[in-house]
Amino acid sequence: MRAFLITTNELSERTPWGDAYPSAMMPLIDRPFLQHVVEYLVNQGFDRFDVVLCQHPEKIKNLLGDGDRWGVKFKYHLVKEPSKSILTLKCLGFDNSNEWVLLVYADRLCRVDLRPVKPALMSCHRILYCTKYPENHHKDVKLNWSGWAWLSNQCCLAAPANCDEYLLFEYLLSFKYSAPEFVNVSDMIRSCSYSDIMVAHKAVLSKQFNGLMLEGREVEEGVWLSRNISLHPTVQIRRPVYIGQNCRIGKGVRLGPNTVIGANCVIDDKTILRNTIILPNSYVGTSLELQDVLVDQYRLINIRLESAVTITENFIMGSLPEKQFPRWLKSIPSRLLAIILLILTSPLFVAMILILKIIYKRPLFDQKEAVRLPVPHDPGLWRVFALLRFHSFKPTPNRASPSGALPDISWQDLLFSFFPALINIVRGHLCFVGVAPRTVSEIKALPPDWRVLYLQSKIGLISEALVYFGANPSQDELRAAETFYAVSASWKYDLKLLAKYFGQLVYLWPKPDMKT
Amino acid sequence: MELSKEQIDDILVITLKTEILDASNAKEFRSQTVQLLENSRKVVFDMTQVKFIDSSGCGTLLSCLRQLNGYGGDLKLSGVQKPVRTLFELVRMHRIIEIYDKNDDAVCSFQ
Repeated sequence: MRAFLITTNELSERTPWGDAYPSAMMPLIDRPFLQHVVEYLVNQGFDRFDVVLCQHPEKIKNLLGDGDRWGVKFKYHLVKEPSKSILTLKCLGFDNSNEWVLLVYADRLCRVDLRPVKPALMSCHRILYCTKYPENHHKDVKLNWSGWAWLSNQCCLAAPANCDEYLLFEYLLSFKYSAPEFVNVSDMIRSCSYSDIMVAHKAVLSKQFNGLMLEGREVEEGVWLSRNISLHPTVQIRRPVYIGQNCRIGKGVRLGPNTVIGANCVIDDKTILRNTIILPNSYVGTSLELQDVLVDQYRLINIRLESAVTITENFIMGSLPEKQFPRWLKSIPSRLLAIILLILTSPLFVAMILILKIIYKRPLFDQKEAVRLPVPHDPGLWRVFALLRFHSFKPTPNRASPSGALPDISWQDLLFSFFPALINIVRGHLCFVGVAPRTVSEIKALPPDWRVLYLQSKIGLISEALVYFGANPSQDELRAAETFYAVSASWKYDLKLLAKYFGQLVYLWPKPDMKT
Repeated sequence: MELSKEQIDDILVITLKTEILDASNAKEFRSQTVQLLENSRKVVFDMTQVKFIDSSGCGTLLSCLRQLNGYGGDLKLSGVQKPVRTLFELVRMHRIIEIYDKNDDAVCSFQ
């Protein structure tokens, strides 16, 4: 059987600063919701999956792979925006005219029997899985589509190219050849919003929605513990509670009821959690009392009040990044090199200071407030530093490059911009190679996708845009250079860019002149 | 750089006959396409033969798109190979330019 999974719905509440996150990738207990959906469908006998991707396709591909893990096949389709998902349905390519496909919005999971469509139902062309509003609330029972439907070949091909879920439902109701068949869904969980996620967790914990694969072992009724948990003997648990792997629960903590702690979390001493979901890699500080909330690293979402706040104080709440090579260790070679260069060029440096201070009587430095990278997306968590450069006598050119970027590859700019910024490198604010430094307002002005990649990168004096596109890149060139560097940076690549910069400086390589 | 072009109704399909689109040939590619795009509104780049692309190549594709958008046209890519597709996903090119598996799908999406 074949399923068409739409993963393009976004949970905009998660990152209100532009980086929309696929709602199907939100965690449910111990794994992304999408994985529960796939496992459920595999158990029902589905072996071919067409997956539509829009936001974070790499994360979804990493999660699902090619399907070997479940003995099934995945085919991925990229769309520019969520409204184009149905266009992909039209281009699926069917093996025969009697082939049906199960349309699945992957941020919903319905517990229904999904056996192949019976020949008697073939003529209706679509079978819609619907829940119903309570009969006492509405006189006429109104159908509420779950987002799951069996569709015939003909029904797929005639679907409108650009439509949202509501328009698709309208189309499925009014498809011309016959009346639709409806199947009632009694149990459904969703991850379309934070409140849906809360409800879904409660449904799974209370076993109202059972049958999902869970990594943790149920050590006693309503208490699940995963591996590698450090649980202080004074911890009090009121079931149902689920604790994910690699968690550390401190002294005097009270957990439950209806509490889920995702993998790699730390709950510090004397904290009380009731009806609370802690998403993976979160830290919760000491002596906090949380109820009816969802903690997503440094975001605190109150479900009852439908509000979200970002906690900027690390000792209250924060993120626990996955283990990686410490950033300060990585910066040691560039900091050492900067110290050596500063010592070697100190006579020049002193001469510059004297000239500017005594002869021209100008302020020494032109300081720009640049944002340190990498940082989370929330502007509240950004830290700035003063990017040093000597006051230049050249007028500032009107250009697309950020104000903190090196103006050009020339000896004058090396003297006025490169050498003072060595102090920033020694302090660990900056690297030799990276994306150009930007101010807070410049970062906020970037398009969301570009901004997300920029914030994940590292800032440097020498940028790929400068080396490949010169001093005056267009917006497209700048975007291409910065996004490309953000995903392909490595020490080898940095050395290559460094060599090209100095090669261009001493005219060993021609300067870029590819303006169009 | 060698390019081949095919007109399907009002859609221009340009096939890039190169394995690499980088700083060494991006400028040449842009200068060849700038003329072709002036006379078309709907364009598909068939990237079946391209196995490597760098920031210069990405920048050139974006400037082609911008040129077409400038007079109400659109650019779509088809036949993108796995390494290039992976890069496009990481740099989120698919959020700017539509990417299709086959030429037919790209042409069909214009109609």
